[in-house]
Amino acid sequence: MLSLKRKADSADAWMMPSERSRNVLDRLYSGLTSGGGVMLLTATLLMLLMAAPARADFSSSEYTYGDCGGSRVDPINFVWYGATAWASNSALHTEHHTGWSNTSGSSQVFFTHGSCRAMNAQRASGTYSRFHIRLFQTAHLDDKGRYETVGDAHHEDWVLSCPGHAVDANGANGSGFDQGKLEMFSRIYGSHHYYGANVYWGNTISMRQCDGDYAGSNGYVIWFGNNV
Amino acid sequence: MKAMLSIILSAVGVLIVTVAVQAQAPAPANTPFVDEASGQTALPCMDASGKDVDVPRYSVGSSFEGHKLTKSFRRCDRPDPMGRANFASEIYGSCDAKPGKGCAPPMEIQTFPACERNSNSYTLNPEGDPLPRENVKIAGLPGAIFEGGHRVEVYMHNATVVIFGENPAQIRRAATQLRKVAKASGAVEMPCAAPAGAVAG
Repeated sequence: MLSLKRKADSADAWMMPSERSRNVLDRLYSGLTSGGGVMLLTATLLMLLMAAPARADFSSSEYTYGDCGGSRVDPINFVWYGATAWASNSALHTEHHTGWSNTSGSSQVFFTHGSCRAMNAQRASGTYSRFHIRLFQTAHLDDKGRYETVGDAHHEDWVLSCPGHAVDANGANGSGFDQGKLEMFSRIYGSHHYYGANVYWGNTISMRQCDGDYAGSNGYVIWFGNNV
Repeated sequence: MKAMLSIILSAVGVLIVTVAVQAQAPAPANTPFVDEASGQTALPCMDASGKDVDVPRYSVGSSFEGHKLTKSFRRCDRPDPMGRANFASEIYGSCDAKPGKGCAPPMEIQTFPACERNSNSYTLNPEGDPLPRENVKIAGLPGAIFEGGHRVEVYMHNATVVIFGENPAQIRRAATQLRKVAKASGAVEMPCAAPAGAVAG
């Protein structure tokens, strides 16, 4: 799970705010009961004050999940971010630029800021073999006041033997996850949405599909701005 | 006769177009090149003589803690400005995928050339913030834990070993028991070390 305290790299930095407060309170209690004195109390209060502003920024799991207690299903490979990047508006712009208006598909969940959240929307290019993306909005604005909605873009074939959808297997041009992400990129790039970055998360695990093949992301995540 | 001539002319036309397209397409790299997405050195999938270029392979054997080695494969994507994957994979155990819902196997070991994936590779967002991680030592080698413990990485001079798994304790144990195995038959290896500044043991 990605849960960032900006520019921090220590073990403490990965704690959720509630965990961090609990940890600090543990130290306070331990200091008082061992007779650490006023200096320890002052230092601990200072730590509390310093910890407060560093609330979590962007937080998303690297994958989607079948359910809150289930295992990983698809890699996250696309992020809409900006002042208007809430889920319904991100779905609207996904549909507008790609033409993907079909809303069929199973629901999945993801994790954000330590909580499990249901998918907000999905868009696909058709019913059978198609491009498809599920969209999930993070729990709250980041510390720049931006919304973030993440997605699992992919191309999937309709496989009779399943019967149902299976993400295209790894091949010389990448997997169905990479093809879906590149399709999103090619449809949106050059539009009024600014291209933010193509960053490497390394979420490259190979996912077994219902046809027995394996598909995995190349680990890159594309960010596009949504401020309209 | 006219139909025959038409078929021949069509065939010649297709041939000319094919040759023209092939002449315009950039030749696939067969020597190390700079990957556009990462800005780092990357390896070709085949060398100049047409032999597959393998990556250093690491394994924990034919089974691990009850999970049998069920699949080994090589993934080497064509170079792409938006990124590519280049690794050898060993999958342990299996899982039950459903239509429209893939599944993660119990454990997968991926080995990348260190020049293509290393401790410096990761960024969270457009601001360049670091991807959350916990730096650790694994059997004396530098490593890191990602994805809430479901991904462990070991950084070696020529290779980065990435272990994914459902059980965080199990993949940490696996990381301490890695051993190098022979390259694929008929393939060649090209050394490609981690860049300066990346930790490697």
